[in-house]
Amino acid sequence: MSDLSATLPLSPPSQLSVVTEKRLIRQLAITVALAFLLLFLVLPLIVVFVEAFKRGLAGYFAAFQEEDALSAIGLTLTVAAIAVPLNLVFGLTASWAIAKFEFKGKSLLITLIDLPFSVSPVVSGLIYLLLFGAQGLWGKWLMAQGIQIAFALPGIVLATIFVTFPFVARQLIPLMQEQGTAEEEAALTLGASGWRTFFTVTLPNIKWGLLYGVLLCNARAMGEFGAVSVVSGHIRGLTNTIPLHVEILYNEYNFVAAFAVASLLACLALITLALKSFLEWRHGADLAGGTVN
Amino acid sequence: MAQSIEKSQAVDIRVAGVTKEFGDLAALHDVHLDVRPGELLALLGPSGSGKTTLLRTIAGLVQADRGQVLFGGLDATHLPVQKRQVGFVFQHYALFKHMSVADNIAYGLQVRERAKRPSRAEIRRRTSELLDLVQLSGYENRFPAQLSGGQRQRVALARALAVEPRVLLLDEPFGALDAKVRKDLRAWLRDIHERTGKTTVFVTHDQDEALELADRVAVLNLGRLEQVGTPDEVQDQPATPFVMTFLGQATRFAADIRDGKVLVNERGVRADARDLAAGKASLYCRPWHLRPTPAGQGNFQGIVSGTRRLGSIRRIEVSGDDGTRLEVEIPLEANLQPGEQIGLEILDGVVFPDHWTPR
Repeated sequence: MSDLSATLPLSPPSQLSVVTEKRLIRQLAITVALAFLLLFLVLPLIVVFVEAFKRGLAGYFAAFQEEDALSAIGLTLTVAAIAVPLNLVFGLTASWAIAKFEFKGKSLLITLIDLPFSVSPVVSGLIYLLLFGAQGLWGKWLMAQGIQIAFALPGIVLATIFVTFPFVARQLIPLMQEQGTAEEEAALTLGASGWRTFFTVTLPNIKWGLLYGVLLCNARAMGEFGAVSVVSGHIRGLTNTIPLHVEILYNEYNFVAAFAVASLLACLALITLALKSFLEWRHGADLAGGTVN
Repeated sequence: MAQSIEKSQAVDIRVAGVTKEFGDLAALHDVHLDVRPGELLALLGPSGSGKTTLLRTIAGLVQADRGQVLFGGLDATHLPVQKRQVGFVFQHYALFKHMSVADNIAYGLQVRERAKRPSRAEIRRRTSELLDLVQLSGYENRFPAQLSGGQRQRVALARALAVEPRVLLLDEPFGALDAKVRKDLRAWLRDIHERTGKTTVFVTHDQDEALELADRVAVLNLGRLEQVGTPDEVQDQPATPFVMTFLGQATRFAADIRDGKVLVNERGVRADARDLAAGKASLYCRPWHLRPTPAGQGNFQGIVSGTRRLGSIRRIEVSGDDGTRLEVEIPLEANLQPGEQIGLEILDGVVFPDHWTPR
């Protein structure tokens, strides 16, 4: 025994050493992570506000006096107001179908829901152009009917819906799968109709997850650049959303106005982050599908 | 007891030729079952036997491919679950976790259409009455997460009873509870059943629970009904080898039937040959059907390989000369030590012809 132990290195068992990493390494890892965060996330955010206020409050607010800026803000709000509720309904229906029923092609549907995450937004914008543009598949027919989709509000809304589709569904599918169907079945045996069951049992169980998904969906809908940039055609005061307007201002060397408008999006991001953290802190179990029963 | 919980007219349940095909095990094959009015019936079987599927078919949560379900003579086969008026208690309770205990119980009354919905005061009165029945008065405002498993089960039962169901269906009602709580709840369920008088069907995989609680037991295996009978009947006259082995410790001996007699190792056994044709058969024995004898006597020879004290009896394990192991129950005072060579006499048993096929 004695000669054996002499050859063994004097270190704790391997399972323990995983968590009792040398202090130096631990501190190094934390420092690197924090430095990265500071350099690539916090610093740019500060720069946005610093640049926006470079000519003082007056310069900042001047950026919002412009008609084009106001119309961009209006358009972004309109697009979000249409796309987010639609995605709420789509996402809810899709996750309901996936979580509560067994059917053929279910895994295909799950894969398709994730498609917008894996396709470049520019490509998805192009697809809409190819379908609805003047030279596109249905473009001639639509033109004849007097319906304009590409380079107009409907195209922007469609592209936004496509890009933001996964947020609500992604949040709800695991949650609803985890909760199963027992509570719904209980409601049915007690005489509740399908709708009644949905509003009194299903919805209350997923409301925080739903809100979380809607929040992320909204943030992305307002901030989307790539897909919207392709389908909008950049018509000033008509089809420019906030992100597109920022780009135009920047390209025109109007830095203060560009950063001022950009600060709106930054604020949106901060508010979303705060609400998101609040939901996670207050209703973490309901978001992750933790079962109380 | 107030009016709503008083005995109501109990109805019978008839399951006629129900068949349900699934890709997996839990299918049903041509099941016929009559549940008598006011009866407490257990659906007993191992997992995958289809017992829960049968219960869910009765409730309307599963649609049978073929066959009918009748309540009190009325065909309910095509009635949706909402219209069947069944009280269903789920295995994991399925309480509405965002609702208080009182709201859970009142749910079935609240969702009724306006014309049939009792007044608010009436709902509150019924709720407190039911809480009283399940011994949970004072828990109105608790949430399911704040209750123990046994308490949740009782809330689930009160919720099911609130809608005055025609029949009560319980899926593994005690499955998720620990042994002590199970025992208490058994007696309590029996009591509730007697007080409400409702026709009740419950699913269990625990034979003790079924035998102790039920008026009659329906034993299922692989989607087929093997036997329906009183606890005495299924234990004393098992219809199939499966029922025999599932309801308790049983040892199988290869036997021969000759001239209406049962022979094991060429020695006669008193077991009833039940007019079986001559030939190979299997004899199934309970531990108390076997009696130790001096080595060289009896139907079976072996060595005592272990002994265990079980309350008022001792159970010994015997390793047979032919390699089988079996258990025998002996009185406490009988002194048998491990390693001892003994014989076993078969006092009784149930005989089934080999190549047994269930009806």
